[in-house]
Amino acid sequence: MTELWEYISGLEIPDLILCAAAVLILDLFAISVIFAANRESRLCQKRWEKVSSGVALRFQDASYPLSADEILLGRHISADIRLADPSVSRYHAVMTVTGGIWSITDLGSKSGTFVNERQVQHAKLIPGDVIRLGSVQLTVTDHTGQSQPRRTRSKPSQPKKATVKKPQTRRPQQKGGTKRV
Amino acid sequence: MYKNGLSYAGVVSLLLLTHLSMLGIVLVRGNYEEPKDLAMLACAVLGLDLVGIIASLCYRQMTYTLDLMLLGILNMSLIFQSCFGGVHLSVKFLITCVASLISCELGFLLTRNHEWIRHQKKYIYLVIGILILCILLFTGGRSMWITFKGFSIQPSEFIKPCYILICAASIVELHKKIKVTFFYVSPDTLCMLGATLVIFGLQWWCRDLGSLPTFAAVFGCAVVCRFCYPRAKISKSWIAAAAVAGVLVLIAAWKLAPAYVQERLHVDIWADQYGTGYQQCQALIGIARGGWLGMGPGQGSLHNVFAYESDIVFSTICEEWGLLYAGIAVLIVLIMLTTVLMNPPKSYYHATMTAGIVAAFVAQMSLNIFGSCNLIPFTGVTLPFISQGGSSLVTCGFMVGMLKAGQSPLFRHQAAKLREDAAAELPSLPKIPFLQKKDAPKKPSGNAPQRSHTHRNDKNRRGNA
Repeated sequence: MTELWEYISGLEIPDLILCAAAVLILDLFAISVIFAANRESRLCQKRWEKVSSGVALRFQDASYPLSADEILLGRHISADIRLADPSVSRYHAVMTVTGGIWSITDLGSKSGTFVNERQVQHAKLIPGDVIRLGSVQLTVTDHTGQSQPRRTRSKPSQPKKATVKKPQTRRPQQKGGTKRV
Repeated sequence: MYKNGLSYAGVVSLLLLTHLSMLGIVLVRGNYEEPKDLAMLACAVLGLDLVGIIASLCYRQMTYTLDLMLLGILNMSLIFQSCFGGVHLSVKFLITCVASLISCELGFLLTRNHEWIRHQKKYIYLVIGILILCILLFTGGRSMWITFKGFSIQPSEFIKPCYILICAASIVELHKKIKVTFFYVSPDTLCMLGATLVIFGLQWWCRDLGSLPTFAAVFGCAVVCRFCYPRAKISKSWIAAAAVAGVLVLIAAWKLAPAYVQERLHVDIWADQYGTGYQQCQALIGIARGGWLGMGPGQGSLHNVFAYESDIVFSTICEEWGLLYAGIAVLIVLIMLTTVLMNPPKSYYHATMTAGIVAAFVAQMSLNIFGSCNLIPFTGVTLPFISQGGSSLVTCGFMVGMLKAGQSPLFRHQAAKLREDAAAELPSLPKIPFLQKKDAPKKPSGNAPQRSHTHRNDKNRRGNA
């Protein structure tokens, strides 16, 4: 400490004040940038919700916001929404968004992908649609968490819900609900 | 911008204050012969600040922090570079700063649309091929520099963003695989691996082993992103094979490295202070001489050492401005890279691109700073944004533009087309398809176009409603 004090006292005062002020301003600049970037990220998140139409997937009681432009549904550990059910293929289907419209594409799964109980290879999705992968049933909802039940049509045979484990990778209703790189 | 105005106003004010405080230090502690030199420098710095800020304000976008940080760092570098060996405005560096800011906007506009860039891959490969041909034909031997009428450019710097782009653009095609002998492989990945081998081979042949770790870092990020990409369906055995191959390549590179590289790996700079270790010894002495607060702008002596403004620029700044200020300047660059992580990209393309750029910058900064401090072998790469060099600065600007593209991507590019399709499919339906569909007529008009499979599904679903 004594050496440090000797060093500081050996400096000319204007030099020390100037350097300290410059370093302080540079630090403040860095902090203000971090603050602004944080605000920006919130705005970008809102923009993303507009782009992706605020669509989420509801599975049992949990809701999974779709926070990337490409969401893999499957049993594999790397899937964005993991459905640990034997009837679901490892890479079952992928959801993509373009121009605010979400669509689902089957990735050659064994048990097929069904939208409102019709088997599809590729289909556009709207809130209220019911997706069935194997025996797992997911509902497309909007940002308010509301699905539109009148969109679901003819009563299909009831899928097996009891065998489905809860998806393991995400927490429901959180900002980072789906995995992003 | 306008929703976040108060924050940006604070950043802009502090940006101007930062540069004014630096100019104040030059005024009080600087080594200048005439006040005119300092006045010219101040005019250039503040002028560039104002022009940059006004230009940013005129261009509406989602993120401005990267623009403002780039402007701040470039102007800091302009002050650093203008003070080496005495205060005088470095006009050459000022021009490259302007070119860097322009290339930033160019990079942003060119790379924000991942659908568009996916279809331009062949042109990116073409650009890389042309750059490699230029290096082979015009550099005059095993060198990376092309000298033309006093100007020197380094084409290998321009390969970096192109390489990052092909790594990013090829990731979304990973699920399209073809069978080659016994394996299913993605053609895009094969092309990317081919380009990697050619670029690495070129670096090896040109003895530019300083850039090799930078490209290796980008490649490593691209590989990791591929492992994380679910549609790639990469199995654990492939990951293990890739890890083993990586280790084998490292061992082979270690063993097969040329003699001069082997020497550099084990050099004792203090044993040969006036020979091979001269630059590093002087760089370390410069850092020690500068101390915490430096000797004052233009008061140092490292400007007599070769590559003081590029390869050992960190030491030169430490000597004149002090370790504290140099450290914070580097920290500002790192903060610029970390702000990107606060708003994670929304697509795998942008994520791969962002990861590659951050890896390239971090690798290059580590090589420069740790090399100057004798913590790792001295490689002679530039310090991004701070070292002098037109090719390097323009490339850095372009890469910041790519980072900005990851923050402000274009996802609505096909919205108009989709609306037209939707309107053709459901004539009474206007702009927002899913919100309006519930009021749609159940049958489309008779002159509706030929329906695709998707349209059939939609029709069936409507029919069931």
